[in-house]
Amino acid sequence: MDFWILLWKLVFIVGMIAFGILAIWVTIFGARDIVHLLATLRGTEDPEG
Amino acid sequence: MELLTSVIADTNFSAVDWGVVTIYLVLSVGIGIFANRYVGNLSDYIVAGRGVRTALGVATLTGTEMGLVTVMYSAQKGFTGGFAAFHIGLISGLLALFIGVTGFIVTRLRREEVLTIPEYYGRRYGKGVQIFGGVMLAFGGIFNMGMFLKAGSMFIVGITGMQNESALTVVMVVLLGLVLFYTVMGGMVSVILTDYVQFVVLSFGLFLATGLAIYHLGWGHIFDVIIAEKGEVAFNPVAEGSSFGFDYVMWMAFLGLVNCALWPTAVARALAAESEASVKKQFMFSSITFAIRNIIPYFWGICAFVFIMGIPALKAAFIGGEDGATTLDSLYAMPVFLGQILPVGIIGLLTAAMIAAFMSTHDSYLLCWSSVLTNDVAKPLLGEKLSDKGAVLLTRFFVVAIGLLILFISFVYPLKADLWDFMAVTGGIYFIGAFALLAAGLYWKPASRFGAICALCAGGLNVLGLPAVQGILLGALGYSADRIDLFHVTFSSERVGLGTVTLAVICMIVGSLLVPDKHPYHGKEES
Repeated sequence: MDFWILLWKLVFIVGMIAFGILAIWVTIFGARDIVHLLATLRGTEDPEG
Repeated sequence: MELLTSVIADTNFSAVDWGVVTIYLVLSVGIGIFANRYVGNLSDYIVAGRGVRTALGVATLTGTEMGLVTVMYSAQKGFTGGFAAFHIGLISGLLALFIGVTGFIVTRLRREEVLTIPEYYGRRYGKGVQIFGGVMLAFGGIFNMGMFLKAGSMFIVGITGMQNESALTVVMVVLLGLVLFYTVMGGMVSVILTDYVQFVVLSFGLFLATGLAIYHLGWGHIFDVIIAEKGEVAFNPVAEGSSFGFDYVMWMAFLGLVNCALWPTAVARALAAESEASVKKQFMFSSITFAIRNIIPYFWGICAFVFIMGIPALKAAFIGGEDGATTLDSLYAMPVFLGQILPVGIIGLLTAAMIAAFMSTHDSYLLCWSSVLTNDVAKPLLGEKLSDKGAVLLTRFFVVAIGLLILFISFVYPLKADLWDFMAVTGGIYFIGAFALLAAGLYWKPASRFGAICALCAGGLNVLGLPAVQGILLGALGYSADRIDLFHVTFSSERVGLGTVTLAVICMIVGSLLVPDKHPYHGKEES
């Protein structure tokens, strides 16, 4: 049982750290990507729309 | 109802928290109205003009796949299965990483530049398979979504402590109305923008609630209580007497694969990506969220169990006493726990984050099934008669119709198993056949139309994994048992699932070899 307890503790801690780093990265660069997406859509917008 | 009312009455949810939730909801509706300006044609509406880069792709993939229903069923699994449930999250994350590194299925689908998975069926196997596959996908998907609304609303009722008898119904109708509004207005553009906001709010809420749960209960105490109350089965998923077992782990491994590579809402993000390289990066980065989207809620469910075991009244309500009285649905355990440990303000923020999760999943799922019905059922049947603007209008109509259908399912379907197991089975109606069609279609040249139809039919048999369906079947045959039991082998959902996967693959291979296509499709070349 000790092996499983250690494994799940590790999975939880490593997972939380990795998710924390990812969340910061996505928050910063996701905002930049939104600007790019809206610019792309403006370019493909239906002229009648 | 009386038992539930007494248990949820102690929540810390206040007027301040209602204010936080309201601000968030107004923001979401505003985004829907704003995004409507950017929808010019069907491609903009369904795949946001294929202009989504990696970071935004990760946000939207996370927003979609980490719904409130995910949080609810995972917390329930953590509550009942303990830390052993972590194996589902770990497998899921590792398989998402595998998909990201290899691009298995998703990059080849992106190369085909299709709008939906059944559109690929049409190109590879013909129009008949596209329509049949589209109907199977929509049926399995809508049935799968049937419990989302109820589970999400149970969270809201549990954490806010609403005392009214019709609270659950009112919450379901209001939440559905909001989601329908902004999905109909802005399509995928609105979905992606709200997913981003939801990712930011959700990430913050998850960290905060997890930290406060550990602070309140104590890291060591959580493990001590689980060891004392549940023993080894709460840690080792293949231990004797575990509620999981080897069959279950195998079934979860298959589900982990299909969740990333085949589940239409996840694949829709791959199809909306800017390039094949962006698809791979999106899945590699998202492997963290594919794992954590389960692991954090499992942990909350475990914490809820520890908390409840320490309070006799709650223990009697959820676990039961010696009198054998009816206990509360374990889905309520996690929201009741969070409602009692989180302080005023924070609890509103977490509820807004969870409503964010609820909405980001619903909008994507509604858009996904409705675009399949338009693109893969109505379009092949109507041909040129359906204009681009007519297709957008029809998709919006399907969004509303599916919304009303899931509201109906929420009222009539009796959930007899764990929510996660229900979703695995209903999803399997679609994805088992889809696995055979996509894997063979993309990687095996002899795959034929006849093999595809046989595999889709075999996948549909997975509906037998539902206890309610087995009960109806046995009742019709004059038996009173709840589960089919042949030669001392119980037809558990994981066994039915694994059996159906094997059957679908055999059907695909044998059917293709027996009846090959005269003019096979060879797919697009790598650019």
